[in-house]
Amino acid sequence: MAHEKYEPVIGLEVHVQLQTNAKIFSPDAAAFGAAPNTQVDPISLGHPGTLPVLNETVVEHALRLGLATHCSIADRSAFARKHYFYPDLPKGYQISQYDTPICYDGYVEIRPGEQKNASSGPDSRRVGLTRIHMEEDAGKSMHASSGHTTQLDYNRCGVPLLELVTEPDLRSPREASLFLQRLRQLVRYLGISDGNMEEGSLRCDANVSVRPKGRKAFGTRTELKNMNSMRHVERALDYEIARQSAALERGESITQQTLLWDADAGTTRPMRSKEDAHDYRYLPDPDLVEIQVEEPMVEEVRRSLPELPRARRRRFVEDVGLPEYDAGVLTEERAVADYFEEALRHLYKRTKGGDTDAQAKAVSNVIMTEVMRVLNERGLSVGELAVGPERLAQLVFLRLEDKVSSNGAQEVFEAMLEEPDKSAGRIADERDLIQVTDRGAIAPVVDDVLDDNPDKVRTFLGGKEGLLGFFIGQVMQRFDGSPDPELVRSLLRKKLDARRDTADVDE
Amino acid sequence: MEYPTFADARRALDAGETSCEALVSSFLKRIDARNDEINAFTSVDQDGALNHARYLDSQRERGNPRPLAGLVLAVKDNICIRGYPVSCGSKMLADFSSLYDATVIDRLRDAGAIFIGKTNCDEFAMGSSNETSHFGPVHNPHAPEYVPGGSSGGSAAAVAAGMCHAALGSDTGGSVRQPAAFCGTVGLKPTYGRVSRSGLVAFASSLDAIGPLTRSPEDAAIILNIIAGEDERDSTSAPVNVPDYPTALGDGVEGLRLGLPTEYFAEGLDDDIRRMVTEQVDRLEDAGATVKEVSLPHTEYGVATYYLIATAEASSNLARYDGIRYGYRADLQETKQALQERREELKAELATARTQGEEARVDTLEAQLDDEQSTLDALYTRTRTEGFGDEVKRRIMLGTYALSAGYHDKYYEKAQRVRTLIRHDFEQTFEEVDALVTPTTPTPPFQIGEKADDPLEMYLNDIYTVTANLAGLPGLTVPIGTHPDPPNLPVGLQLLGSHFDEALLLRVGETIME
Repeated sequence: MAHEKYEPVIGLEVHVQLQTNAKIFSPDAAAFGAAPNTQVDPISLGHPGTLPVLNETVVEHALRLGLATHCSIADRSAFARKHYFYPDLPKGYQISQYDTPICYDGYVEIRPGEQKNASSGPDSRRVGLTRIHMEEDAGKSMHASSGHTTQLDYNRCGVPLLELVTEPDLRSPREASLFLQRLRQLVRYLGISDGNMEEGSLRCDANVSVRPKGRKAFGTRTELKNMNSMRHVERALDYEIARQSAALERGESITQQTLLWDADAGTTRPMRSKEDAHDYRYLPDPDLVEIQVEEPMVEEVRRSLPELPRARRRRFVEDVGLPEYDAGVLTEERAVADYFEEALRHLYKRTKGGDTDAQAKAVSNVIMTEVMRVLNERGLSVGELAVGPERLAQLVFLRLEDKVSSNGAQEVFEAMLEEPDKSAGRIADERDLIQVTDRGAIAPVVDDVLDDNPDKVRTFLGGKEGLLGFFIGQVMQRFDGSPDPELVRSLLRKKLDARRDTADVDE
Repeated sequence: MEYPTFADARRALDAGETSCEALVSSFLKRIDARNDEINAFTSVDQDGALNHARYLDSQRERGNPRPLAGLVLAVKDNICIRGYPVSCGSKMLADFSSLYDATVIDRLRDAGAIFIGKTNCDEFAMGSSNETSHFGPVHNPHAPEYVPGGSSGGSAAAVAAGMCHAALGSDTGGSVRQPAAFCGTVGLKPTYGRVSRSGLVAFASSLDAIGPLTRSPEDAAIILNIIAGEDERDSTSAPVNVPDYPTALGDGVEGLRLGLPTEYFAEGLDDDIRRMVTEQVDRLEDAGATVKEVSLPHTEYGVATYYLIATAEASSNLARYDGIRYGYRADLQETKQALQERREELKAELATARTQGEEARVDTLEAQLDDEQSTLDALYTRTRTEGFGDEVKRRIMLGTYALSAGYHDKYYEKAQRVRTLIRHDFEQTFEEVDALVTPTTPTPPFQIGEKADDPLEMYLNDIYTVTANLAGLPGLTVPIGTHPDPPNLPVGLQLLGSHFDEALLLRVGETIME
């Protein structure tokens, strides 16, 4: 394939929509999903005489992301007007930042060897961030399919955005997608955005070029737009890389242009040249004063940063004693990691010592199986789950103490979902799931069963070991309560072996 | 007029000699008698003003008068009052009303001011003669064939003609001071940041300032007291203490150091204006001020710098008038039809060129067809072509050019650097002197139509006023008599001070007018 002779070079421009109570330059609400044109004051609509006033929260959010991505913070930073005419842009310009972005020169670490939800290697790579800057969002144009009317919703005007620009450090569509996953995880950890690509809170454009493997110089790049999910980013890049490689292979040259990803057709197509030919005529915005970020403010934000995914993952392995894989899965979402730690804290209160690694693993197991399954099935976030961390700890404790069997634990968990007010112990008790672990109580029942089935005992001893299940079933049935099946099994084996020495064996 | 200034009216109100309602009625009569001729107002709110006056009178009866109760104020039609038109003298906003109050309006209304109407002005405050208004020119109350100055020509004329106690104007390059001088009123442009710009329709945001036009420095001080101060709705408003301006008015000029900048008395200054200003300087010296000549060497670049920065910002500020959400919109059917006709025309020409085998022509026409506007672009173009007047379009084009790729550094950036030099000139000078005395304008008022076709000549009329805007300094003009030729037309003297030193300028102005 032509493709394999070429190496792709990819850089991303990502817009992160921030979660704030007010817009970046007006007191208007900035919530997603409100009825059209209900979050529009004269400032959002750019009415004559209105002035923008900066919402300080946006600066704090920018600093959070900047510090979390190892950026330098500009001590002086300004807003600029970027001009173009479009009906969803009420002022005829967007307030953005131009030559003095608030954060610059950072990086995000990705692990290209990483399988989905796994970590298979230490081969992490740094993707450079050129800059992060603040800007306002435009409104939304909704073009009717007939093509003759456009409806405008100005709610989104002035919703705060951070734009990140990466260095051309990515070398495959998969890496681009990994970068976006890391970024999404980060903004959610930081609590500055929900990072939802489908709803447009995370938007990504890509610059891509290809070059013969081994060559240093970059090829001519194209810019890809209109990719609304991680999957589309990968597909669009795959397509574009193949297209460029094939063109070079045919001896054609690449035209520098902006391309739109057409998800339905699975192809890219050029934007009209006029849409692409902007002279934005940047102008320092005279309505806004320079932002001066003082060192104490940076320190304040730094102190308030939550533990970030990488650090947390490392701690889960090194201090908590989880396997790498578990640590990766549990730290993917901050809320899940919080849930895990809270449950573990409750569990430690009960166990008061012992093998804490095993205890952590036990909590991890039930989260990775039962909890995540239910979250997926029901489309819930962990915060919405009826089983809170304390009750989860109760359940794990029952299991660790062997008070319930693993099947029993599963049943208790299901019941806990429906009965949010009852403890795990009470549910197990009510449902007769507490295991009897007293050998003295089980042994006579085992003897009774064997005595009552001499034929089957003989057959078993003759080699039909499959009958063990039958005996276990009989014991469980006769027993008043829930004996531990493992215990029953081992007792049965012992007693059957004892009979082997005395009995006549059917050969 | 019984009570020409608000200060007089307030004394009469306090003494129970008149009422707010009587004051408003007398001004309304005056407007009725003279506005047809002068064209100072674009809208008059007779009922609203009378109702508010009655309300204020009843408050006074209950022993609860407001500090500015009875101040009858006209407001330039580029300052927003909720529910009132704010046309900016433009067809673009001829039918537009504001949804909110400007901060100055909020504060003045709270203090008891009565808004009697909105005043005519040059379109989007762009002009020095009030001839660019969509609502027609304003006539100088002292001689109707002469201009009142601009852009706050309606405000100046309304005050001079006794149609109100005072008016609010806006000053971007002299738009309060020059018309005040031409109409014989006091005009104050406060320090940039002294008065909130929230609700002032922007022309050039880094230069714009709202200021009062009054019949006395005292009235200007009384109004500034209310409108000055930081505002959370304007980040460029300054967190600087507001002194009590009227208190210092009577302190005289004894011991003050006044400077006469050589460059403001150089070639191009009318001889009579020079003489009249010099006479006032002598009076100030007699009153105890010391006077010395100073130099502001970058003055000669003032007008060029101003017209680059002001037009660049204007091209940006006026981008919002696109006919989509509010304001004037060109007829969509006509737009589509024109577009269609244009296409047909090009196609016909193309067909002809093809049959005649003119290949170059074919290429050009094909490219033109290809380049034809979308309906949206055509609607923008038509809306802005029809909605803006010539002077506004001229400045939008100049500013767009100055900001465009390849010219940005050469024009806009360079102008910013010169602006810094001009500011430094003033800073250095104000280490030696307390205030500067200059003419407000190089010439007396000119006739309507005289300079309308010569923008450069018109721009040069701002030569002594633009520098205060570029440097963000306060400037005050006071009337110093009438010119011999043309006779009876007023002449103004300008005082420039250092940042936030309005009190000193008002004090010198008071001494001159005593």
